[in-house]
Amino acid sequence: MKNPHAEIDQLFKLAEEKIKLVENLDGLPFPAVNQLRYVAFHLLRAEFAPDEKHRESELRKAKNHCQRAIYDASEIGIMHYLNEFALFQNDYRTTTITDVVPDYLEHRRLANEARNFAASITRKSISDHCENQDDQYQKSGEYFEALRKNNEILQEARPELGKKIQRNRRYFLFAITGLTVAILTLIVTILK
Amino acid sequence: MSLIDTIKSIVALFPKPPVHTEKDRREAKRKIVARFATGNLSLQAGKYLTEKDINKRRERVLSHTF
Repeated sequence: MKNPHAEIDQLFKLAEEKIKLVENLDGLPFPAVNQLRYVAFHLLRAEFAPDEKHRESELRKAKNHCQRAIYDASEIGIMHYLNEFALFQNDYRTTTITDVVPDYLEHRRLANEARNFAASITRKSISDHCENQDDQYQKSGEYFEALRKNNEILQEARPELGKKIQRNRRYFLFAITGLTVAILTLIVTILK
Repeated sequence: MSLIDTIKSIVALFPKPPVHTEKDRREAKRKIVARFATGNLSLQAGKYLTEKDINKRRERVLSHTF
């Protein structure tokens, strides 16, 4: 069995890392920071626990709060990038994106998957009383990372998609001008 | 005193009822936090997320189909 203090230390560092990432995106996430406050609370209680059973219970709670902090921070990141994805979709709703981003459908699938994952997590399913929440916090971290990479690619594609829209607009303008000239020529010819 | 000034002074006697929206209250809170925060730069800039902010965005994003 792993040393609980070493495990908590590792999780705490990971939680801090995620919180920093989110802080740079949207601002300091209070719910995640609060969870870390509870970690300190349970660690102190473990330190002064009357017996080994209480000590273990407090350490487990501290570990769960670390995991919850990671989940909370990751979820904010997931929501941020899903929001960015929705904005991207809205901005280029009239353009074929797959010409510029060939694996766009894969990005979309991932976004829907992450959305369904976040929707499936309820506040009760992840808490300090939960026995095993390893999967949830790890998965949320993975989605956060995957969506971050996706977002980077999509933001890179913006200038190219902008050029494509500009080109299409130019073609449309040429077509309208050509059509107008043709109609005017026809009218003049008929009037003569 | 011109007619316009007279009308303006009469209208000023009956001001519109003050409106304090949720947005105004939130902005006021942010300003207070930004003013009194020390140490954390995000807090000093009034850049933070509360449970309410997070849940609001969560609901909006989760109702969207990509």
